[in-house]
Amino acid sequence: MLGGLLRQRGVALVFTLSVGVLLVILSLSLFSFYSNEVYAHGQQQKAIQAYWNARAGLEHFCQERRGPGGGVYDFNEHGRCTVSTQGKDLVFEGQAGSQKRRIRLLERDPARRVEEL
Amino acid sequence: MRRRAFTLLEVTVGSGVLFLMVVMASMATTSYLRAYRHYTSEGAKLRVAAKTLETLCFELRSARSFEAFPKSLRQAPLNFENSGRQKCSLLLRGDQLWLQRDKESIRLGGAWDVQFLAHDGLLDIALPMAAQPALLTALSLRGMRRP
Repeated sequence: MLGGLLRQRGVALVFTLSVGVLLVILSLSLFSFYSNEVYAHGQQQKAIQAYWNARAGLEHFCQERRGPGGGVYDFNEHGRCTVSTQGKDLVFEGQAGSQKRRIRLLERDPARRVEEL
Repeated sequence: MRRRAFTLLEVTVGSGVLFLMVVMASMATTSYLRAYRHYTSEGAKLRVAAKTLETLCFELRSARSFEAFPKSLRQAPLNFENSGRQKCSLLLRGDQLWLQRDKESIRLGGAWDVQFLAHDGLLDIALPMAAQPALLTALSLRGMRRP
């Protein structure tokens, strides 16, 4: 049966096209993996910077002993830190790109902080 | 039915197309492997930098007075006295950040440079990294004697 199939005309074309399609699929998969790597690395960098923005906001608060005027500390291209009140606690939410990290000051006491990751 | 062999042109074109596909697939594979290694290494550097920044902030928080704030540790070390009245000095040796405390040297972690900017009672600390944005944070200088 296989011999008969191999003797048919056009089998070489089908074989070449099949190999080509497989290689294209392989290339697209690799490109997709590559894109994911780049994206994940960018998000990791932003997540770490978001945490440090929350810390910077907390330090600003410790220095000034009051929250920012508009509720936001702006760190320009590095992101920002939004300060909000939740009950007796103060919440510092660092942002960098789409990533957010929060630090909660229990009863507004700088010595009692909880990092919410 | 009379069977006909492939012409030289058909064989050449067929082989050429297949060869081109194999080359492109190989290039995609090597590019991906190179990128994977690059981003894995950059991710590791990022985590090391974050750890270094954490240790640096911890040490600076123990300061009670600073002599001066250099713009960059590449220019000059940062000298301060800690709460135990020990003379401390932050300095770079190669790509490592060291804390010299009295006669002991402590390696704080990897850092290519550390930049400082003091303003309004705060110290902005930036940890520049090759090929990615610097990590930036701030430290309150409340209760610390400043130059």
